[in-house]
Amino acid sequence: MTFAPVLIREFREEARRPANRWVRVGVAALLATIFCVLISTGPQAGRASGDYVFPKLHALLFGAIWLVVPVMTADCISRERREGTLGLLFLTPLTPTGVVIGKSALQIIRALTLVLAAMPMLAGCFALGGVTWFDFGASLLINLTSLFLALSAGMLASALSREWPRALAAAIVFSGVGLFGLLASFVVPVYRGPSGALFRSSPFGAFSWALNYCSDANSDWSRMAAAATAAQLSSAMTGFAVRLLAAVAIFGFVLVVAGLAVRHAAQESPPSPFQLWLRKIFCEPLWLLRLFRALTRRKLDAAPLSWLQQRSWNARLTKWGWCLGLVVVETVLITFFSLHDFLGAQAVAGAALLFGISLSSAGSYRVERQNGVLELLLVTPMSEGELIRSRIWNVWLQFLPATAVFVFAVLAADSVLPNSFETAALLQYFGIIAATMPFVGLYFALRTKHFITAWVCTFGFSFALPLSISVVTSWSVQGLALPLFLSFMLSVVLLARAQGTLTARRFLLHTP
Amino acid sequence: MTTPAAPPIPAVSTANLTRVYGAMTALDTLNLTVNRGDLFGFIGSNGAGKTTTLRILATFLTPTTGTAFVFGHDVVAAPNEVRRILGYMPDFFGVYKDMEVTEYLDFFGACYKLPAAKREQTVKDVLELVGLSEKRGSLIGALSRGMQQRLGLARVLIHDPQILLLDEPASGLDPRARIEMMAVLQELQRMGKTIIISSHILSELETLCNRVAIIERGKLIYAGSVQGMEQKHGGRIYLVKLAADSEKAAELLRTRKEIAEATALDGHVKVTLAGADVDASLIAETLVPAGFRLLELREEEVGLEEVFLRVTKGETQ
Repeated sequence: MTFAPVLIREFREEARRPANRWVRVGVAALLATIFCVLISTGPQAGRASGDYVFPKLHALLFGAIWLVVPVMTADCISRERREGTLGLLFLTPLTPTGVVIGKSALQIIRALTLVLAAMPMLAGCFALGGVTWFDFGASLLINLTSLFLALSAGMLASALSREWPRALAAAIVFSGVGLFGLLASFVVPVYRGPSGALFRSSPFGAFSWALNYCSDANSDWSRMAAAATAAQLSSAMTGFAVRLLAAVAIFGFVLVVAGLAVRHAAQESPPSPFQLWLRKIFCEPLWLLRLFRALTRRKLDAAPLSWLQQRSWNARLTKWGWCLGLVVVETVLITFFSLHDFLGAQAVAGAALLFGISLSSAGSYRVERQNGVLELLLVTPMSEGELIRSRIWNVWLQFLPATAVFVFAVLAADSVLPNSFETAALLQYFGIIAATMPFVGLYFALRTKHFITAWVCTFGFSFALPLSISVVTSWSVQGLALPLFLSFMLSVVLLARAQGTLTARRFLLHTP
Repeated sequence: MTTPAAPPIPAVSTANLTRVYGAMTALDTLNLTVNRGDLFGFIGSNGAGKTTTLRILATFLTPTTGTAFVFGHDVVAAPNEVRRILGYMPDFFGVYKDMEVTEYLDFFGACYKLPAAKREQTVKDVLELVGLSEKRGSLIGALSRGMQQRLGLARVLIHDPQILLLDEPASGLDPRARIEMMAVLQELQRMGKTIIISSHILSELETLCNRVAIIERGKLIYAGSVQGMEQKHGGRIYLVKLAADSEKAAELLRTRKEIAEATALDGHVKVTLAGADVDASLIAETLVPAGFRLLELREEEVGLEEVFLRVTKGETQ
């Protein structure tokens, strides 16, 4: 099987992207900053605080792997399909599996750089004291397991999709399945054992425990290393290693499936009658057709760009899908969790919503840049300002129903369990970030070539940066003022720069 | 006493138009005038500066120095006025493949702020003009390349512009689609539109356009009528058929300073006269006294392609 030409080409392409270097340096600098901040703010600042810093760094890395790796991998094969180069590859002696392996090898290396970037900081925790080899080994094995599962999710999504939004959505869903599987591998043995009564009474609590255990959020590993016998530690370590082997096997299986999907995809065929029927039944309006047409026509007259961005069923599905998803999550939380946990879970719901807004913002006018319509729009009487206002307004509108559900849930929880600080901080933080993120996203969407770079920059500047500053300045209502003010100022600056980019046509044009 | 009428404002006029990209000068002091109602051919090699000129006129790019006016409106100072009267068709489709044909035109009509009541009829009219009426409900992705090109032309016409800038409108089309496209352009000219068309297919421009401009390395080499260009740069070429010894005849003809070039080809001699004042009888006067038997002497037509090859050096940026 030949895959070297694909691998070499992928390496060359990666090496030529100047953004890659900056992203790597940025990630390393961010981790180093967080490391220094954690040391300086730890309970035993300056001495024996390794056991305080290590779990937090591990949790950060664990979260980053599940968040970044699927997104980073999602477009690696689908881009070839979109650009029509996949079929050309198969005119050569390359096989579909060879192509998939060549592509995946680069993705493994890219993902490993995340782990490698964190290694000096994780190793530095040894020097600070309080970290055992068990902690280190468990962290390494869990992160590698996560990495292979996240890669599997991204590769499978990419092989099954053509358009990047679909690839991205599929990668997020598959990575959710992968994470669920990993957590289940910790829950099931306990659930079946003699001490599984608690888990049987609250399955969600069981998964919450598994998530805390995998991310070492409660420093369970240190306590375990101190209390358990050598045989118990060895058994736990063997369990981690077995999970890693299983993840590698799953990754291998996914490569085979992706190869088959790619072979099928290379022979592009029109949608079958069954697919068309499904689309007609589920994606097109069946009732009140006249009213629907009148409404869309009115929208087209009033704001053509808003109509453009909401015309497809995909866009409508995204808008109401987020809303419905959040309603389901909130319902599940209120049904199975305590009110205290319900309020606590709102931070995660808010973060998920911001994640969605960042994806949508980073994709601003990306399709129009690729198909050349942006160039055509810029020679109509519509001004650059109209293009910007319309896009930002649309991102807000897209997430408005979901945001309303989220705010209602937070306020409802607060009315039952008053916690003015948590509520105020959460709503302030979410409100400012959600309001400013579309500006940041639009700027990076116009100035970067690849969606992933745009998304990383958007998420980093508008979400991670204020959060990091909040951690530095301590989590308080007063402490929030500085990062939120900086977010606001950043969005104003980037708005002006986005306008300048469009006016001076400095955005990268499509390649016909 | 009556004051003489002011000369009509040209459709396009540029003065010292220059556009620099980093170290490369894409357009170098271009001075060009296109009259109203012209079907104007813009000719040049790849990278000569045609697309840059069209993009500046379409208000998409701003010039580094110099000025450009479209129907008297400055493209930099009054871009919105220019955009209302101008239709720009770039050398790519710029379509949403998952959109219906009418939806696409309706959308661009709304972008040009056409009232909803007028838009429906306009969409119908432009689709009929470009011959896509039967495809009005089709998805754009399902259209052939030629049809997508015609849809691009329909988009350009949606706001009834006075001037059309068409960048390579016939590239990649099959012969039938190309002929149909040219027919549509002639119809538009009859309707009074000014059309600037950039193309590599010179034989078609020759019959289609009343005026042409040749540009190379950002500099204007020629602008004027097609016939004028052929007279100015074409020279006159004659084919001489001889009973024998065409090589020797060519050698003899080359000794005359009035003859620019003489080449022997399969029993013929291809002769290019050096100046307009030289008569074809010179060929007979040279060959007959030397004992050559002339069987035929006829003038060969010089096409735009031949002239283009002569006046350009094939240099690109």
